[in-house]
Amino acid sequence: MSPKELNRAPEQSWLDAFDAAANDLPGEWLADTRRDAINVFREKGLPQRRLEDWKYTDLRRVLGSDLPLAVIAKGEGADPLAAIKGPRIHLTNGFFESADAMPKGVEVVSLSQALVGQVDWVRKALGSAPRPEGHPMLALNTALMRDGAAIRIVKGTALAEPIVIVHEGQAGRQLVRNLIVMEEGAEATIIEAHSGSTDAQQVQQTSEILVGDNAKLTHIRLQDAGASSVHLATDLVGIGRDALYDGFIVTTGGELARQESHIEFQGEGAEARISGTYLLSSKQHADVTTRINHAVPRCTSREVFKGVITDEARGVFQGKIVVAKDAQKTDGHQLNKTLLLSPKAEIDTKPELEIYADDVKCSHGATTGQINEDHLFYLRARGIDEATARGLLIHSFISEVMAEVKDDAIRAALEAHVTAWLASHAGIREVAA
Amino acid sequence: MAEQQAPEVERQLSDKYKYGFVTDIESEKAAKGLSEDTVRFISAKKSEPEWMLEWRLKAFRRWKEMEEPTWAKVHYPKIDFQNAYYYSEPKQKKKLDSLDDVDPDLLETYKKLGIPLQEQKLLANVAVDAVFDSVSVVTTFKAKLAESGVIFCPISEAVQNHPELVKKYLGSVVPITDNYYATLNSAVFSDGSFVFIPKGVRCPMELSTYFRINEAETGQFERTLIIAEEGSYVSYLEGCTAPMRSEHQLHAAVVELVTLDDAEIKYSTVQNWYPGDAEGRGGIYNFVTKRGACRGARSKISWTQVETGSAITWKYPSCVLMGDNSVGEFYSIAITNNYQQADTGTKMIHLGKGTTSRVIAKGISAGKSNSTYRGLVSMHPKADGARNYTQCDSLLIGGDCGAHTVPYIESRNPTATVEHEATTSKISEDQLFYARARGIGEEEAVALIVNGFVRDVMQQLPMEFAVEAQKLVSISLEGSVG
Repeated sequence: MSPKELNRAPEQSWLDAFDAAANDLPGEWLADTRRDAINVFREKGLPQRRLEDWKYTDLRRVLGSDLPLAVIAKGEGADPLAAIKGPRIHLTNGFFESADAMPKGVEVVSLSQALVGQVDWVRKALGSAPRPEGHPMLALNTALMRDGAAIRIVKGTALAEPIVIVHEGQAGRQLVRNLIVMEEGAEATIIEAHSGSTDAQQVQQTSEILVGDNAKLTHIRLQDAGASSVHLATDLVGIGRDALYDGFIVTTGGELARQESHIEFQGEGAEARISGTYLLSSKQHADVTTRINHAVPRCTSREVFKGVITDEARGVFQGKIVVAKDAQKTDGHQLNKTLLLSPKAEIDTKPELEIYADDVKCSHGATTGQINEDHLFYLRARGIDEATARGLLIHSFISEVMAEVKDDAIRAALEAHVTAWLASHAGIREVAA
Repeated sequence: MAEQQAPEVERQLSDKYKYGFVTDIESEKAAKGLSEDTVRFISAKKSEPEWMLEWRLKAFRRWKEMEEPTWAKVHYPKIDFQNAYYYSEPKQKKKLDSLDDVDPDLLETYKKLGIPLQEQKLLANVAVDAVFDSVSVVTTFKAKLAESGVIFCPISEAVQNHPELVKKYLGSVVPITDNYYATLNSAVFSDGSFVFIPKGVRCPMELSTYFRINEAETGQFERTLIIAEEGSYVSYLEGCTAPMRSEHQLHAAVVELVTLDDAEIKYSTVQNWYPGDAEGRGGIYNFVTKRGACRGARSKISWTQVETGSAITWKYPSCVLMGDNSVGEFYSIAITNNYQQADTGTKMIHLGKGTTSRVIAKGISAGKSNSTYRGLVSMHPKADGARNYTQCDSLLIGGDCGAHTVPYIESRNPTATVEHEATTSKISEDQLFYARARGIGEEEAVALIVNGFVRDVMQQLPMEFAVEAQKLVSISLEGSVG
């Protein structure tokens, strides 16, 4: 059945929102782009299970509910990763609220201001990140994007401290577009922390991330959105010659969440790492979808995602590595492991390889199951009580992936978050390091 | 009568696809095209009872409302279902009583194919059912099998002689609404094999069906049904060939297997339908639905397939593991060369407690071909302690082919364990160099390495088949190096 034959009510609220807001959206020069984008969305409709990429995550139900567009609000000082030092950018309800003073070689502007004013580098970079074609949610974001943070790390700049973007969601539909431009040889760590109120909200964030030749970007995201949030974060990453993109994502928040990473190699000799963990409880639904596009030869990708799922929560992992016809000497590896802790927990995983070049080394692995009984027995035989033994094993399961975070201070802050989650949701007492 | 074969095509390929000949046998065909009349014609031809006709018509009406699936990673021009014959039967003077009455041309065909129909000359202890175009022409060793209570006959005969079994099991594993091609098959299936192994019987010999498409513009729609009662065992082999033609032909078969408590079915296939020529002209569209239901506790179904033929293969032999502690296995080799496309894999549906499954899939792509492994492992909430292990390895030969892996893993039981591994690589230069340095020619060296790569699966084949399959691997890859 084509989307046209479906009931169109869920889409209509978005089309109406666009019509109502069209004249107030920032950047007159973008009007045609926005109109084209809403037409793509009109044609495709909200993603539903009959589309292969959305087989396990249906947005029609959750995004159909009528919720007004978010309004500008004042933040209440959320900062879930306060332990990490570095200048802050505050986005509240999807609007750029404030930014600390930035070190030399860093430019930060609010996207809405940049769209209205003449910020050449923003105009040049916006819409230039590689992207999947005909993606309905991306189209919706382009049509309705209102604000966000645009960050530029000037050529050759190496930052000593990370930049932290603090996202605080309060209510309504928040359509955020971020832009991260790493110029040639620049080195930076950018951390995003999402949190918010328990009010109903729909966050749709798209980040365009351009990593220039020889540049290095470490990109960390903690997604701990409010319990009634729909949280969609889509990262579009282009990686230049000999450059590195090192992404890490911790997902604990939201009622329904989907993290999409589309990574494309644009120059030879580059490397991408994308890893993370999803910790889900109650009736949460979280989806991690990654696509790594080896479009050019001699690039390396490495991907490790591990999850712990309890109660009636459901996890989804869809990882795809595509190797283009001439992308010889590609090295691509992917691993997904999930622990199910309760009888009603569910994991759906789909690790995919699509390979058109012969001189490659590609692999993927996936496991699902419970704690290994042999390991448990080993610990119990040494006099460790069952709860502690389970705690140790789950901790060690997650520790393997946490080790992908290279910076000690950042890893410690993320581990504190993970440990707190395990204590309150999996009944696991804190384990001394 | 004989198909006008483009002579240059024939010359180019005759040495590679030795089964590409056409036998000039008079045949009787249904009118071209597909309508309720075609379905009625086939049913009448088989003198089927009313319930069978109704079943077919129900499927046909359903099929008309269905859309062709497009999710598989295969590309082909839209099939014109009206431009094909749905029934073709070799003309015979009278009803056959023994092999001596079989048309000598037909016997010659099977001789050329290397299939021993003549019982007296038979060394291998294999009973054969030979299906030629739409009709089963001969089934050997019937009497000997009957002694142990085994029924092995054309399904058209089973409809007449064992209606209670057919009614009970036909469509019980692959329902007529299952999918586009299975529904089409349900409407127009012409013949196929029926096997029934009664309680406690270990089938005294391997059973085998040889499928041959001879007639031009004819679709082949066979239907196989195997039932293994409590504690029984059968090993069943299936082979397929077709003449070389420059147009495509459709093969849409359905295979249903049922095992009751403690029963086991081992089902092996060597699929060598005509793959088309080096330019991608001609070849069989092989759109097949194969599924087994392990209904009984501790029962087992094992699929082994060597897929070297067909222009397009679309096939997912699956196991529905309902009985507690039942076992499903899938061992597969898929080789594609030139412009062949294969989208194949398995579904392991774990419903019962303690069910286990094992999937070993080896894909080899050469030339401009594409090979996809597509599989599902599903752990249902009641499948306590279930386990699956899956390994998919792909080998690429040359820079113009593709190898893809699309596994789906769905687990809704915390005590179930799923392990999946997949790798993709090319033939190791070191291994090739080692063989070449010892004076082994390049093509031979590749065949040697590939045979090593697929060894885990080859070992699962019955011996007679393994020898043939190894040769096939070498032949399929000819011209893929250098």
